[in-house]
Amino acid sequence: MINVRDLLRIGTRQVFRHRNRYYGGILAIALGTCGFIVVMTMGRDIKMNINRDLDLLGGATMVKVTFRRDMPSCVKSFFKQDTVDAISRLPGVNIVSLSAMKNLYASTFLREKEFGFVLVGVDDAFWTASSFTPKSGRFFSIEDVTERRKVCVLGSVLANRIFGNLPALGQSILIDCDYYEIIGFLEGTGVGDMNQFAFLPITTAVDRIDCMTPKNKLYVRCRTWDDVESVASLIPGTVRQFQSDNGLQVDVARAQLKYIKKIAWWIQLFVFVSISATLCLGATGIWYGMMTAVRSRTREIGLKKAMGATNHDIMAQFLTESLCLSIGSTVIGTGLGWLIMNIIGALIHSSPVHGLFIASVMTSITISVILGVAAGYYPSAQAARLEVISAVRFE
Amino acid sequence: MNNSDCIIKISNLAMNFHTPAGDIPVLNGVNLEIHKGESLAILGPSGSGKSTLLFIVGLFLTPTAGSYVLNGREIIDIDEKNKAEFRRNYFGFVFQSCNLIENSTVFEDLEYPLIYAGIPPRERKERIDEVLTRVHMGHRIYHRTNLLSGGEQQRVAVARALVNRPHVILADEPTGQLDSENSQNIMDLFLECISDKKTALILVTHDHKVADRCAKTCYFNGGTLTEVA
Ligand SMILES: Nc1ncnc2c1ncn2[C@@H]1O[C@H](COP(=O)(O)OP(=O)(O)O)[C@@H](O)[C@H]1O
Ligand SMILES: [Mg+2]
Repeated sequence: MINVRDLLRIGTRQVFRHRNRYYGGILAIALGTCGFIVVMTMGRDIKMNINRDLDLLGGATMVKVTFRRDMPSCVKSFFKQDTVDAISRLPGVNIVSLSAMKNLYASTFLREKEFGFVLVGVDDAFWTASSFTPKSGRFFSIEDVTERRKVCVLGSVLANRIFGNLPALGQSILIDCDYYEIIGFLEGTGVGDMNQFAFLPITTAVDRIDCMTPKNKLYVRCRTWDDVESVASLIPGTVRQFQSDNGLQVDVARAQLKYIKKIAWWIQLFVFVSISATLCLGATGIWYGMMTAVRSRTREIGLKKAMGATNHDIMAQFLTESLCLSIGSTVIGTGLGWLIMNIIGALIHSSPVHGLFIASVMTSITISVILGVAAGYYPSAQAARLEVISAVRFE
Repeated sequence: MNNSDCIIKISNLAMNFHTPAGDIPVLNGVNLEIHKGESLAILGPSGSGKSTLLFIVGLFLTPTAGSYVLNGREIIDIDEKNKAEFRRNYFGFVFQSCNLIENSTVFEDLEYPLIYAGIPPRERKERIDEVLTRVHMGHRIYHRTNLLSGGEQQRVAVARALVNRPHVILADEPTGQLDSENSQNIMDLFLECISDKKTALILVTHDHKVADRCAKTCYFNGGTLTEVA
């Protein structure tokens, strides 16, 4: 019985010497593994990114939670900080933003002209939660909110209406008897009619502006589409832990969600079908390579049997070669996957999850062992069964 | 020669190949006895069954009838696993050509029998050096086998047949592809190898000059062996 060290040494040597025969299979398995690892490791991050982008069009991962204002019993209800904190800790919640609105039109004067607009108080999380980026300047920082600074962000259409072509960034604007510094402008996809609004830090607004509604509107941004339903269903119970849920309204964009999930499902199906197809292709490549190897190496097999190799030894040798091939290809694929994973990570600004990477490498090694055995078994059995005389006879 | 020297005793051996086109009787009552240190040349026309007999002796073929006693043990009915064991413990094979494994070095080639026999790595190099020196190929140990000339390849094949210290060397037309000078060199090697009086040689050939160097010559005729004086 041949020992394992010799088996491995000879197996790798043979694969290396006959490598030309196997390039196709190696490439296919390496690519399949690479794709598998990237999809497994980065899938969630990529999904979050696609999700964020698609969401600018549909807002499908946004759950809007409000206290209804058309019921006298809850017209003064607002979200307590404990409630907000608890909701932001729910599984699947990415970010939570709290806001309030001025009941009536706010207004400002410039060169003796009056301009009316909607005034909204928001926290620093609002912009990230809504995936807004400033057209110029910046949005509220946490200090703006905690220190109740007198700063303001204008929707770009509103800014244009008031200032025309004059530079507005850094200017002061009068709202309800107070001056606020303009620090940024809002514009872009998904902004909608908010480009006609003015924004103040919610703390500042509650302090200084008359007729603000209570802090009765929560934007809950979920991590992925799959999280939306569970988050929405958990919210009422979470609210009840800290306050009454009378008049609480949870809005989910179900139609968009369904549509986006469908698209995502097809994308995922497509990706997994391509990866499995690649892996199968690799296995077929190895199988074919091993079959031709057995055929063109009948002489070798016969000679080895003449040297005293048992059927078992021959079978073990060919199976080892097959395993070396599939595992080797997987190792190459893992390296490639690691590289691509880091490149994608840098592109979408997220670091790959270490645990997921390890898990997907483990899975691919397991798959490759299965592939190796599956692809190598039949050819190896053929090799082992080969009659010695037919192998050593033709001369 | 006394009976304890007898390694192989074959009696009444018959071999029929069953083919769809009918049975082909090849061997018909072959009797053969080989002792330690003996050299036997088997001559005969092409297709007379020389290789078939050698393959039966080497346990590659199971005969249709008869008895085969190897080192005092009847082995006509042993299973495949035991056959492999007997092969690696008792026999060294040399074929007509293409004896060496493609894409390997002389050392790697000679290592295989030792691996199958479970010889530890430390001992392998020693053994390989020893047999290669005997066939005057010590200087080519790490060369690729496909770069060797025909005569050199046969010498390496002889070395490989010897490396497991077999009781019997089975050679099927080992000089068939060689010129007469190289043929005589290979015969020198064979006879030198069995000069220790422990190893026997069975050699199939149709070259009379080669056969003449063996102690005993048998002739195949009509499926039976007749000894030529
Ligand atoms: N596996 C086989 N099946 C059928 N016939 C065979 C087989 N092997 C050998 N033979 C036949 O047996 C005869 C003897 O073959 P062989 O021993 O190779 O002859 P030699 O070596 O003396 O030239 C030939 O006629 C050959 O066709
Ligand atoms: Mg022959």
